[in-house]
Amino acid sequence: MPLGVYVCHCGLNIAGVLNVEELKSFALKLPGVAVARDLPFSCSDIGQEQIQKDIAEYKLDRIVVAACSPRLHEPTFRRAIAKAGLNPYMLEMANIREQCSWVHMDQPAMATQKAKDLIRMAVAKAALLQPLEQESIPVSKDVLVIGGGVAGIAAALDLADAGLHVFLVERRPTIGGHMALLTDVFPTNDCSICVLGPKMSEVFNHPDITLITYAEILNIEGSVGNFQVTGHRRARFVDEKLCKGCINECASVCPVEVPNEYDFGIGKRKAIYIPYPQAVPLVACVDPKACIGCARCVEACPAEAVKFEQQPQEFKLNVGAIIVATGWQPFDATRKEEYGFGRYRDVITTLQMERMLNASGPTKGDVVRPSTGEIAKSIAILQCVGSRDATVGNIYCSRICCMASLKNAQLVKEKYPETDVTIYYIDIRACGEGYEEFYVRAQKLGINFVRARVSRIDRVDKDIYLIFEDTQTGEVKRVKHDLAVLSVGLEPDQNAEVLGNLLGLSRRPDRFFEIAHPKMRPVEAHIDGVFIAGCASGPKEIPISIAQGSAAAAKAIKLLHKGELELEPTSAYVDQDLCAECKICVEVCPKKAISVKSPAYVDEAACKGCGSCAAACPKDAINMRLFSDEQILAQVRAATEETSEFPLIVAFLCNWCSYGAADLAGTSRIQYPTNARNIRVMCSARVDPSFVLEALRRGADGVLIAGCRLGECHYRNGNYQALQRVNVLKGVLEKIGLDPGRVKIVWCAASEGEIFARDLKEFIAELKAMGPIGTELEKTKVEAGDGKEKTAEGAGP
Amino acid sequence: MAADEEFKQEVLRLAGPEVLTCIQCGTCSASCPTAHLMKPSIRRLVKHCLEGKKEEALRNETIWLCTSCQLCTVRCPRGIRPKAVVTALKELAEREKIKGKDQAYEELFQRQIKDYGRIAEILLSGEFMFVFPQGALQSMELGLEMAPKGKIKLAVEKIRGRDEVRRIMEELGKG
Amino acid sequence: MKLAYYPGCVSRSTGKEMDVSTRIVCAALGIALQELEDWNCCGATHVPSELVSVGLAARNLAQTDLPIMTSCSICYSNLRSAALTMEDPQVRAKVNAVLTKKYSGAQIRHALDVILEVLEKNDELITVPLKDLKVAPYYGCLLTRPRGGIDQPEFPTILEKLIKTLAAEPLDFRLKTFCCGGPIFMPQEQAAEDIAFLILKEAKKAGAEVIVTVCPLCHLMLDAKQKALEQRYGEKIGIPVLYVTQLVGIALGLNPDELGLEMNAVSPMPVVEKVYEKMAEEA
Ligand SMILES: Cc1cc2nc3c(=O)[nH]c(=O)nc-3n(C[C@H](O)[C@H](O)[C@H](O)COP(=O)(O)OP(=O)(O)OC[C@H]3O[C@@H](n4cnc5c(N)ncnc54)[C@H](O)[C@@H]3O)c2cc1C
Ligand code: SF4
Ligand code: SF4
Repeated sequence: MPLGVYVCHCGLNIAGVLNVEELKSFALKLPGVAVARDLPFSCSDIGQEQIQKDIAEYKLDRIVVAACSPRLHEPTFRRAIAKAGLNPYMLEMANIREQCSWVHMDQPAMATQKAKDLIRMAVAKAALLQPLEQESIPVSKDVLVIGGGVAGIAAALDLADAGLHVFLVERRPTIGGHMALLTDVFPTNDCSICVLGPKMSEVFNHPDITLITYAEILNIEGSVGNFQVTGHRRARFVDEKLCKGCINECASVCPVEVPNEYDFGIGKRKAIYIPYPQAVPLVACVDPKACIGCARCVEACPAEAVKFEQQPQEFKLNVGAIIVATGWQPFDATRKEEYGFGRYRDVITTLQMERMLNASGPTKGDVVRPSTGEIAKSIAILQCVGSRDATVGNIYCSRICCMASLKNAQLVKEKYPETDVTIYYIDIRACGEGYEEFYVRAQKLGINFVRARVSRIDRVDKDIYLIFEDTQTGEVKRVKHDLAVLSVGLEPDQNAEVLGNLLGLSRRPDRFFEIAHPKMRPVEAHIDGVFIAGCASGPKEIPISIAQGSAAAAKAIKLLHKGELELEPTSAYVDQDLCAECKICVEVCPKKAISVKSPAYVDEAACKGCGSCAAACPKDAINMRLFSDEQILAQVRAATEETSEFPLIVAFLCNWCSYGAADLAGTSRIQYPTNARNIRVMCSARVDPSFVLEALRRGADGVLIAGCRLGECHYRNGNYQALQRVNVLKGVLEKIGLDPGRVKIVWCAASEGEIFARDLKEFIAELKAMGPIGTELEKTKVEAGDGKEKTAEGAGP
Repeated sequence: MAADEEFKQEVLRLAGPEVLTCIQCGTCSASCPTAHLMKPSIRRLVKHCLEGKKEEALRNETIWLCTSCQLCTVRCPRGIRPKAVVTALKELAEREKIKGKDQAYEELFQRQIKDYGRIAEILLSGEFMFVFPQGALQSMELGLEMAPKGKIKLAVEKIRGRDEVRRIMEELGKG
Repeated sequence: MKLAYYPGCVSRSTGKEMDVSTRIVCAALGIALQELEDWNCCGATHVPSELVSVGLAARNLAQTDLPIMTSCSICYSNLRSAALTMEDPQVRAKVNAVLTKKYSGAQIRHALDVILEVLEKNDELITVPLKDLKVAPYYGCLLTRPRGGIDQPEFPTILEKLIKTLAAEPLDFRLKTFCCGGPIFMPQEQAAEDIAFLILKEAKKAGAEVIVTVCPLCHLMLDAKQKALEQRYGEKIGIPVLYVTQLVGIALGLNPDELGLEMNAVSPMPVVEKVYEKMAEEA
């Protein structure tokens, strides 16, 4: 197992502070080291060639490079050793630049001592490295799109045009989502169905799209590249192939009338119906809840398409990626009881208003008072109903309702210039290209704006009154209107939770699906191979929903176009003999990569290698291929082999943020004391309590764990898990008589080198106050001794 | 007048830090049964507190027009309790010895609790007529109505736990 | 069912009929009431320090392990607010520091929902159905506030449910949750009276034969002051105002003086007579 160690000068960057000569001779004496050299620039061609020459000459099978941060040059050296015939994973780096020479510039002796420890740790870990193979797996190039609103439609068309096959599954009998029900749409006020209709037909006719409507997803298994999906199509009681979509023949004979959900309750439909004339597919559907089974439609249909015996049909799909575009549902306005929706007929929602304004809607475009059927002469529009409202649990802004109301007000005013339209608002939010101009246009049309959040709607006799404070004048007023329109907010689809659970998606406090990163990864879910588009991840307008649909499609294309997927060999694996099937790993895994099929099983395509499961497993049955338990323990032991300073700190830094922060402290030349021996792990959740205990047992005075800031974990919630473990650990320390303050957990972003240095300094000060490890045990011994004497005395006579 | 930061902090301490999140929407103002009489409105009162305008916040009719009906608190979209702001202002007014309209009544009320643990019908008590002669007429009207019904009982019941009640009022009254 | 009973201060004076009728109705319904040991005033709406208010309520809550029932909305609201506030461990600790018996959680109920619960299961106890009696359900403000009590704060319906259970007809009463103005009656007489009269006028307009209330202060404003208000505003109202417990008592066939009906300012006797006549007619 001959090992080569290369200590880099990096010009004077390292050699100017550390004694590289001494480091080289130190390395040569370490177990297993066959050759050690110092190189002026190890990353240069000359440096790399030297390493490659040594590999051949000394038959080296593993390499340690003590140089800069692995986050910078690990790939370089992996490539270099691979060229010389070694497995690229047989490399370990000791970070003696960013985390040593650059941050301890005025303490060369101590820094050199620290560098020795770092090299010893790297050599100890290197001894345990195993060759790893990058596997690639074949993947399905088909994509499932869930939800046929405008976002899902955009995604499906882009995917299919790029040559991937799409299964578009829609719950309702037609695709189109909410956009198909809107009247004209902002900011251009063009007719909604006129721009959406052609896209809906395109979906229907596209050879690479299989459209499955009136269907539900029931189960999803597998992972990125190979999801197995089961679902069922509800029975329409109408044969899709036979129905001609004429609707007149069957619906005209149906004796049952029910409120039409596609008109949000203001219009009526029959028990056999087509949602609206532009529905896709244009096929009738029998509502089993309303149907009385008279079978008049069966007789009336000239195509003999009505089939009461139709059964639900199950379907199974195998897809490589999934796009979730389940959209939104309107806030239930009856929950705001003070506005009387549901009790007062002349109080309606914006969606009902959209339907009224729609020329093919229930009133044929007339805006009427439902109580009288007369054209409304004075209309109030109330903003923020069910949004920005802690009393209903929705503190978020629904983002589109200000614009939607400005639009509806304009449409009313254009149609009925005499009608008085007043918008009651807290703030008008018109942020988007051309949106503020849209607001100005509304003002110029003579629409009234009153800055007030309406307190209550009162009905006296037949009339409704708004009670509010005009906050610009401070007057409390009571004003009569013919019609009050509640600008209801957007909530996530009520069944999104079920789907979310099937997929393992997490939800934000506002209950919409959470994306992988609130800025940088706007359409990716935490689960690999799953993307989220449109209002499923929060309220947004049509253009952005479309953009997200297309973005999700592009991400899926990037993932699947090669037909195979390369897997990083970072994954977890289970020792089947040890697994007790407790399922703790299943709970902690942020990627839903583990299932317990007696025993536990890790889906290596889904695993991203955070290592939380390995830390959590009570039986130590899970280990990691990279950053294994043994390797980390070897680093801990090497770090504590020689306690060359007080306090000696073993620090675990997560790869993404805190290790980055420590590197940044280096590049910014922030100076701090030399006490810490850093160990890189993928996630703070990887830190197994046994690592900490081992460090303390071996004489470390303290252990620092640093993770990403809370809420910013790269695996979703690893840092919370780490926090929880540290809290438990503190309890354990207390029990065995150690100061719980010897374990500390801190958070810093990759941009917070300053904070990393500050936290470390603080910890050093705290440990100094505590004294070397074991001081407290001495103390308690003495105290316990005292106590004994006292009891002895007391019990004496 | 300059902003009185100390006053602002005291209101926040008594009524809750969420008062800082007020969006001045006016929902609270228009929820009051006595809204038409209030000047400033409850919303403005909240603003005065946040701006540290102590005089404006303490010397006004509004805080004495609050019926404690809590509708503002039920409705505030930020989860603020405007009623608690009013309560805080009453307490601060008392500390500042600013005489409000029903202070006499409230003081008597609290004294009875302190002394006896319970309230006798203050409205009808001679003591009340003495400290608050303006109210006497109202009380007499009521008294005339109630006396024959056997509802007037001037002897106050004293509870045993009077010391404890006094402790509650004194200790917790410090804040 | 066994409950601790918190009568509240008004039960000893202006709200005597509430207390009397609560006790007798509960007895008739098989609800055993145990008066809370050495209870004190809940502070009503006249204690400006929130913490004192909580402390006063907490002392009462700490006296028993039984669920605590009260028929006064103000007491109910105060006890509930206190329990809610004391969910914060810091507040709880502060309060417990001055209490003799420590508070450790309590269940608080209003007589209205206790009675409804029993009646819904035992409607045979209703021996005098209040057929065709037009009742204006008047909640006032505090019964449903703060949020989370026996019903929704904006548009509660529990009183209507009870009225229907008694076979009477609940009216659609627009001002049912409008505050009666009572708490500011002393300092702001005019404002308070304006409000109270508005409510009475609205009840008359709605065609009420009876107004039912759940709060002694509402009762004082609408009943005891009714005559004075009629004089001041020059309009006859003449609608009796019953405590919910009195209304239930009538339907249970209890004796009018057991229910304290003679203590009401506007006599409810014509209503009682009408109900009995109706029953005789039907029989
Ligand atoms: C009153 C009002 C007016 C508006 N006006 C405008 C405007 O003028 N301009 C503008 O840009 N935006 C407007 N919007 C916003 C617009 O409606 C949304 O941007 C758009 O609907 C978002 O599309 P989506 O595909 O994300 O969601 P949706 O339209 O909600 O589509 C989601 C689809 O997914 C389906 N689905 C849900 N769950 C499942 C499931 N589990 N399985 C299968 N299918 C499922 C649903 O049935 C639905 O068809 C308005 C919104 C409102 C409330
Ligand atoms: S390493 Fe992380 S992602 Fe992989 S199985 Fe374990 S917990 Fe899941
Ligand atoms: S209702 Fe709440 S947010 Fe609105 S003005 Fe009043 S206190 Fe402020």
